[in-house]
Parts: sequence; C-alpha cells; structure tokens
Amino acid sequence: MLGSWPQDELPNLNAANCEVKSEATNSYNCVAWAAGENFRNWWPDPFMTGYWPPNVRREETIQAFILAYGTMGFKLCFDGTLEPGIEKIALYGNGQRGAEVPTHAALQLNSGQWTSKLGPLEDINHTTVEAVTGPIYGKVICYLSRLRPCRQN
Amino acid sequence: MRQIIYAKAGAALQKDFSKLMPSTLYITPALAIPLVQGAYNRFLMAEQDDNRQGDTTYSYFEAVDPFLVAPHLQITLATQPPVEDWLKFKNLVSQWRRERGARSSITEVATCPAYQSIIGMGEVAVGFILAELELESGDPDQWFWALRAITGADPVSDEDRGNYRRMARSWLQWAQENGYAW
Repeated sequence: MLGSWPQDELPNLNAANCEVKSEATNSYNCVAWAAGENFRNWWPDPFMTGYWPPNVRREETIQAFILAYGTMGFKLCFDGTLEPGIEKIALYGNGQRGAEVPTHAALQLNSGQWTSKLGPLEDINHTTVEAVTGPIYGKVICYLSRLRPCRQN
Repeated sequence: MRQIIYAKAGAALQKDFSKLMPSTLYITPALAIPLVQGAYNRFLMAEQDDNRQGDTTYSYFEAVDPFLVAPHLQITLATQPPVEDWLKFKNLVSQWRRERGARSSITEVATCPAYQSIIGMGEVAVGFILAELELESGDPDQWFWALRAITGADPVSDEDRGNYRRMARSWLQWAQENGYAW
C-alpha cells in the first residue's frame, strides 16, 4: 500500500513514481504546503475557513490563486522544467477550459521532483508533475515561478 | 429508589449539576443506562430515600466506562434519541471522510453529501462536533464550516483562519461562553 489515499482518485500514482514523506494531518493543505507553510490551510472558501492572503480576491478561480502566490513573489511562467535557482509551483484544476476551478498545487524541489500535500492525507514526493493528475485534481493549468529561497531541500 | 441520571456534558460540568442545561440531562428510573461508548462522558448517580419522599441526595462520578465505578449497572445499547442522533452523526462522519478522500478544496470537502447531512442535523449536531473537536485537539478536522453554518457564529479572528488548532480553541471557548455542553 502506497499511502492512505483512494487509488481510484489518484490512479497515476504508483510505487515507482512517488514516496510518502509524512503522516496524514489536517494541519495544512496543498496550497499552504506549496507556499512553504505547514501550520494552516489556505483556501478562499465562502465560509472563511481557510487562510487567504489579504487584499487578494477570495474566489475559487485560477486567477485568484495566481494572485495569492503572487504575494509571495511567484509569477506565471512557461512550464515546469527544472531551472537552477528557480522555484516552481504547478496549479491544477478541473472544469471547462478557461474557467477551471482550482483543485491542487504542487511545488518543485531542487531535484526536479515535486512535492504535494494530498488534502487531509500525507505529503508525498512525486517524480513527475503529471503523477497526481486524475479525477479529483484534474490537470495542470499553469506554472508559477520565483527565485528559489535558500530554505529548502 | 435509585435513579440513573446521565449527562452529555463537557469539561464545564460542575458537581452541582443543577447548573447543567436541562437539555443535556437524561433521567431514567431503569437500572440500565442507554450507553454507547463515548456518547456520554459524565454520569450522575441519584439516590432517593423512599421513606423521605422528595428528599434526594446525589453523588457524582465521572468515567468513560461506568462499569469501573458502578459494576452493578446493566449497560445496554439504546435505540432512542439522543444516542440515535449520535450514531447517525458518527456514521455520517465516517461517510464524509470516505467521500472527501484526498480533496484539498475546503469547499469541495464541505459540500460532500455526508457533511451537508451533518449540517442538516442542526443544533443537535453542535454538541457532537464540539466533542469531536475536543477529542481531536492535536489535529482537529475541518468542522468550522459546519459550526458556522449551524450556529451563525464566527468566533475566529482573521489571523487564525486556516489554523485549525487555533480555530478549534476559539470555537470551544465560544461554545463554553454560550452555554453549550458536550
């Protein structure tokens, strides 16, 4: 068994392309994890449950997510190719082209692998950005990048 | 005559149980306590002297397992509310956790059918949710949408949003201040 997620929700994950890196926890979600946080959940839900950066529209659109990561210095970039000194985030979404609803975010590591927090479950490293695509996270909609801070991996 | 009084109550319970809200006290003349493990966490024994009608003295004990302190009691599974509500709630919680799977979206998770059914239980679910929050104190789950939907309250400060431990503390404090027992 890889982890506690339902295999049919993430059918592209397998023992060869992912590694479980933490216990399951509700303390943070993928959006926070990609932003470098592990103590709160980010989400622009209408009931004000999740954290959302001040002065960013609290709406579940790709544009609002781009603006939210923009508060941390991320800007749209062309693709998820590993570039020295550059940190990248992949934003995932489901729905009609141009009106996708955000579902997930993954952060690229120095190694070129990606790290994802799977909802309330574990966080994992996955070899490709496509490994977490599927029915619940949909597909990669866009990539964001910034200069890599000195902190991680 | 011996009566068993059992209470669905939280840490705020005082030995003087007259301070409890009436809705949290259930009284039965039977020797069997309708009990499901975890549904009730405080038990009150009432001893009434038959020769002095109306003169009732009470002793109080607290236990997760009343067998430990009152081995003569017959413990049976109750089929009447509120235990029925508690069983319904626990089943919905299990169903919700299956339904949400690995979803990250707070909105998607809170609009799962089982979570909406918990909200649909209304006020009766609040005590159960508060008990869950207290049990999960190290890693509370996302109960805040439901609490806000049912009660209309929002005791969480903006800087604590998303931080479930702090949000749980704020809600438990609010609940105590507003007379909820769990």
